[in-house]
Amino acid sequence: MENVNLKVLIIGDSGIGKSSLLLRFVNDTFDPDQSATIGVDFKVKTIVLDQKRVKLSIWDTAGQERFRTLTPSYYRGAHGVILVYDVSSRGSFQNLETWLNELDTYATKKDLVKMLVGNKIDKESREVSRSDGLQFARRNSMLFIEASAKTRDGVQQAFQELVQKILQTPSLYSAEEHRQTLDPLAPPPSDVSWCGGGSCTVT
Amino acid sequence: MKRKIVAPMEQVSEQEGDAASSGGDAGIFEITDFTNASPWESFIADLEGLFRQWELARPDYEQSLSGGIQHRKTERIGYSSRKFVVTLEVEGGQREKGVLGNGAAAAEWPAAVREMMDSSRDFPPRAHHLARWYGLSQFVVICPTEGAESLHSQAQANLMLSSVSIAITNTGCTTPVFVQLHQPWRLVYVGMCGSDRVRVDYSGSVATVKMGPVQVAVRFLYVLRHWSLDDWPVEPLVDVDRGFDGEYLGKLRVGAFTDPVKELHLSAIWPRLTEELVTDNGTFSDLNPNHASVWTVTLHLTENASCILGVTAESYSKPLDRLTSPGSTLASPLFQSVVYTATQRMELGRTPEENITEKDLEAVVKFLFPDAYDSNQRTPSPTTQGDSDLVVKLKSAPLDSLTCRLAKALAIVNTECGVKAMCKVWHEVTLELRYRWENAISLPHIPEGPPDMKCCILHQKLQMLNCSILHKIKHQQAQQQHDRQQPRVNHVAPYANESPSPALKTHHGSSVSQCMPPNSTTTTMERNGTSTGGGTGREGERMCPQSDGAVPTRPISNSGSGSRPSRRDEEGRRSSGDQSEDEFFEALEDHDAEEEEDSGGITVSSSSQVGERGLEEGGGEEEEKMEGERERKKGSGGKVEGKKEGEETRGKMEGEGEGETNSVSQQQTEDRSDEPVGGAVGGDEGEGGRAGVVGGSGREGMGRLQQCGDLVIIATGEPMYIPVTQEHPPLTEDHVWEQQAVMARLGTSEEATRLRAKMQSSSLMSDMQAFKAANPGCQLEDFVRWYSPRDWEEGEEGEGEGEVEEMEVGGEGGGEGGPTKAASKFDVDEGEGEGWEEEEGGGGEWGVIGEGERSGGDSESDRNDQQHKDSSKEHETASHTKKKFVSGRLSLRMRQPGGLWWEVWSVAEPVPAHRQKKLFDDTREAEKVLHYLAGLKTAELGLLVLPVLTHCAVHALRERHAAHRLSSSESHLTDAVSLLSSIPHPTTDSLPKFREVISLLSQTEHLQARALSFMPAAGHSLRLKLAQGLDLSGQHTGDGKGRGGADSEISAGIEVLLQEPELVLQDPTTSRTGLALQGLLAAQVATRDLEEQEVSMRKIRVGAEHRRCGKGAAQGKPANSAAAHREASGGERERERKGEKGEKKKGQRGRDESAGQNRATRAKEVKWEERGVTGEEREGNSQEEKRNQEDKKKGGQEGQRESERAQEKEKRKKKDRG
Repeated sequence: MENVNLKVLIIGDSGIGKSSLLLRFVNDTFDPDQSATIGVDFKVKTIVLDQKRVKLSIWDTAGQERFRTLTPSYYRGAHGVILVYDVSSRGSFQNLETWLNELDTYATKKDLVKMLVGNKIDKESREVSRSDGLQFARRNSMLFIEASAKTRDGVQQAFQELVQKILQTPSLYSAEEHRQTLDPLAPPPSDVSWCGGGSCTVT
Repeated sequence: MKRKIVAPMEQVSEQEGDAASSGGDAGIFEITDFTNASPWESFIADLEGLFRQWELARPDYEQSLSGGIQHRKTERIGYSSRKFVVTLEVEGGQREKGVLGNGAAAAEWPAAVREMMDSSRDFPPRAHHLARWYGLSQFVVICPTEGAESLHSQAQANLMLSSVSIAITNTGCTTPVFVQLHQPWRLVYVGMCGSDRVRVDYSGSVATVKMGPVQVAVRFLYVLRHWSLDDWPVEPLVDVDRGFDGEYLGKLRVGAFTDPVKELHLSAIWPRLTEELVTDNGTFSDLNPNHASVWTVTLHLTENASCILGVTAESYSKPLDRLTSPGSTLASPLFQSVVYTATQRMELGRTPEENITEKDLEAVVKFLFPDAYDSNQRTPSPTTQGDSDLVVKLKSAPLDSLTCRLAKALAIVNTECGVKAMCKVWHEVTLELRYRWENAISLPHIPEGPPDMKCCILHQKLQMLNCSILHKIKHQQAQQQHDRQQPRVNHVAPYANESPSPALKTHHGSSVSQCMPPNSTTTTMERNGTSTGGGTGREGERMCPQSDGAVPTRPISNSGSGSRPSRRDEEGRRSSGDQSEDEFFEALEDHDAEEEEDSGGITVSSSSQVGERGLEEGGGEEEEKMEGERERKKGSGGKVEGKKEGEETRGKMEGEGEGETNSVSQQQTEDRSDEPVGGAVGGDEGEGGRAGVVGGSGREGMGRLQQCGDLVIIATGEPMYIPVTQEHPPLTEDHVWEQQAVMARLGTSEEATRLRAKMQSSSLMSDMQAFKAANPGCQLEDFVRWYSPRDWEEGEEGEGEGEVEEMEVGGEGGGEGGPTKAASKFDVDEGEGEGWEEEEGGGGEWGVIGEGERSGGDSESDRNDQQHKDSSKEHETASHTKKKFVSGRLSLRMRQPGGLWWEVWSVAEPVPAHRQKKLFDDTREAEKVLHYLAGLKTAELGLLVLPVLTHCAVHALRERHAAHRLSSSESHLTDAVSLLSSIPHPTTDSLPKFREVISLLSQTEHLQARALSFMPAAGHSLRLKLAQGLDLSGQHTGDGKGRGGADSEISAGIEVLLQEPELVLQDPTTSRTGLALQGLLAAQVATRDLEEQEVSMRKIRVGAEHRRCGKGAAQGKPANSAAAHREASGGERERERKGEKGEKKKGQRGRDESAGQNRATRAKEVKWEERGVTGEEREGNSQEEKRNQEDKKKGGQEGQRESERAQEKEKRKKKDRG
């Protein structure tokens, strides 16, 4: 089976459940008092899709304004981005534009797959309707799904859809792209799977 | 792929209705099973499919042929594991009709046969060799795919031919089909053409059967390339004596520098000669070209005219090859590159220099660092121009940046003086960079700001270095200023308390009255005397009269300087107490402030620095004030909005008002005494006032940037201030990767997550410290409300806020004076904090706070403590009242005890940003960069610069493209750019790609050169040559009579040569062009004779052979560039009239009987295709052919033996050649 390494990034305002989404996806748990992320965090999950063993390195970023100068360096080489907002917070939805700008500024891969996730649909006090999210996603050519990390609705689907899309995007995923570089400038090889030089590693 | 397979043995399946020979029993339905079809059958089926697809079997295809346009179609088919390329070649050109004579008889013949007999097709100007040999206009070639094994044996050939035969029969195809045998360069083909009645075999052998009178068409080809005008006038090129200067280095040269006209091919043609009437052999020939009835001339342009840019880029990428050769150390193979560059230099016409001269070196350095030589010359930092997309795509650097200049300079130096010189230049550059770092001189042409990761790593490194240098400069300036101010501050501070300023008072008063409702003003005034600190000191500072005049209102956002007063003040205070402390200033704030200065039109010069500082501060203060006013406005608005808010605002107002009045009275005297001194006073004044206030109230926050909305500190009720914070240290891309790798390596466990968070908490720590310093008595709740507002849950209004407060805020120490408590807590935490720090230090580079800083912090918090105690009474009351107005609590996740946020908060001491350990260690970063740059190996450097260089090249070409509105070259450029953008990093692996890019760029350049100057230049060159020819033929009219006409004729000829494939001269002996060519020909022949003699002398061993080959002899000579070749006497074609005689017609168009002649013909053909094979090879070729013929005579042997023999032959031949 083919092994594929992909790098995925989660961004969005603070306190909208980015880490919870990730935790739900990776460990299938939910921790309401999960500490606020400082800087970036990192999780790995391997899923099997299309006869490929896809190893996802997921970078979870802090949403706080002050951390925004710290996180962009992690945008580099990402194949996909999950942009999260909180359906119970209009503000987090309104900030999406800013995040997209950020993404355009710092992401290196032109065709990286963007997915919009409206989180916390379990909450009753909904401020952002589904159609709002859909519209935004359409306008910015993103994938869209609503999810709840708490009730696990849509979480797996979100990640799977994203990976699927990445694998279908030739410029992001191509077997030829993989070649180990012996370059002094290339990122040092490591035991852990992080995407070497921003390219897919297919072994 | 869906295969259409027809079992050949069953003739044609009935389903394929279009087959020519469909049988009678079409009505029977039968199941056709293709599953067992053999590879051979499927091969035939594929062939047939192609023939049908190309409509070769169409009965009326012959009509469509006439006047067709030259084109080709290609498909790939397989025969079991072997792959073949099937190509349909359609040559253009008109066909004469009815050559074969009359009517019905002619129609019997397939088109191919008629074409063969068509003398009009004898010598097509530019055509496939098969078209030239057989006069065909349309034919199919089957050859093995490139790189695949070629067909060697006769058995294989037979197999192929029989497949073709079946396919032809099945489809009714009348187009000749050829199969290529042996290596492609040998041009050995067998083929067949069939129709219902006639079948023509084309074999590689010559078999002539003489029948009656034979007409021959003769064409001699003369290659004219011995130009006596060897210096070719082109655009001004490399001026050897000029040396380097800025202009020269700043521009990549573009353009061709060789004569675009490579050679003229003059063909003397006798279309119809009766064979008996001519004699042509080694010693005598009737066929004097000067008497030929038709001449045709074709122009051959230099295919790969070395263009300057190409050479530059190529010679630049050349040293990089060394990286790719395994096991080569980078120092040793200089030899190769030296040799290479030497040849390059010769080509450029530059005398080989061992190394770069001092003068040139200086020029290069001056070009790169113009301000080093002319200190007045301030270079604006490069702006990203219109092609910023290119910078991103190519991951290069902005044009005109130091990086780009460096790339260009290195490339040019490399081309002209060699790799060594390039290294020398680089060495010089690194020295200069180090010098600049050590002496704090910023880099020219490097945009400020953190490294731009869209640019190449080299650029990032330079930016990083520049960051460090700028940081250092600011630090030094701060130091200087500090030194200068120190005595003054010490002096002023004691008096500060009793120095209120009237000017200040008035000013403030007016501003208040302007923007506040009158009742508010009165409130402020009434409260006079009960100081609660707040923005107190600030208010005093703001009121510097000079600043009001000099600095207009500024936008609030640009507020870096707002922090300055407090810092200065801090400095002053500290310097009186703790002289040893020396790191106070944080670069970025100063940086902001300076920018502000610039925008305000004030220039910095060291002599008046102090004064300016004052002004600048004033600016900042002014701004501060504006902001305050706005705040107030907001406050008054808020009053209307809601009760709670209004109250809050009033509380704040009160605090401020009190502070103001307080400080006003304090500062009056000082201001009065200092005012006349001038600009410098502003700053000092503020400080003095401030220091006084601090000393008095002790509630002063430090390192404030601006007020944080209308938030207030929960415990104290004072307005919350956003602290000045340290920026995150800039990072270059490689460090980012490193960091990421480190993070990833930690794994995904809980522990790892926590560790990662700790690693990254340095900035959080710094921010917390700054916040604590700016907002004395603050809680984590306050911090969170600023830092992560969504983690603050607003309480329900009207609910017992007091209780909530007590619970959440007072958790630490009850209602008893939060601030004091907090202050003492800092002391306790001291040791703890250090311990934590150490732990961090072990973790890598992530630890932030050094011990040195810590001691400062110590005294600071002590002082704070003291201050708190002093004023605790006042605050107690104040905080008591204000507590009510803040309700809410931390979010669940923040409330969790033991969270890292709490942990960091508990160890963070109130330290303003400027006194914290710098997150950005300029010395370390600069040294890292310098070390990196100095440690680069030549090839590594080459790799780094390569994208920048290609970017420059693309830009140069684009500019040229735009300037001349060329249309031809864009596609190559686009290709090159897209190819380049697919290279993530310049590595050794990407070198082939770069080479491809460079070749694309060279092509573009070449195309441009052609479009721009090539054609005119070629015309010019031709004109010169023809004029020369006229002179040589002794035909120059001399008297100028009729010259105009003659020239116009020649011009027309030139025009045709440039535009059309060939120029046909029907009157070679009379026309001016003809005469000119005659002159050239004569010169050529003369030279040739001379050289031929030399050759025969030199090559005695092979001489005889060559002589037998006749005129091809000179070809074997390696240095044949100037030689004139009457290349071959071949081309005589004997038309066989006896085609009528038999169905099986042996052979192609006849050639001369003599093997030598035949060989020569082939040699000629090879030449035509520019195969570049040497004479010997051709020799081998014809020998091989002979053997082939022998083989053929022997007839069909088994395939295996055949192929064995073929291999043997190969060996033999190699031996022969060797």
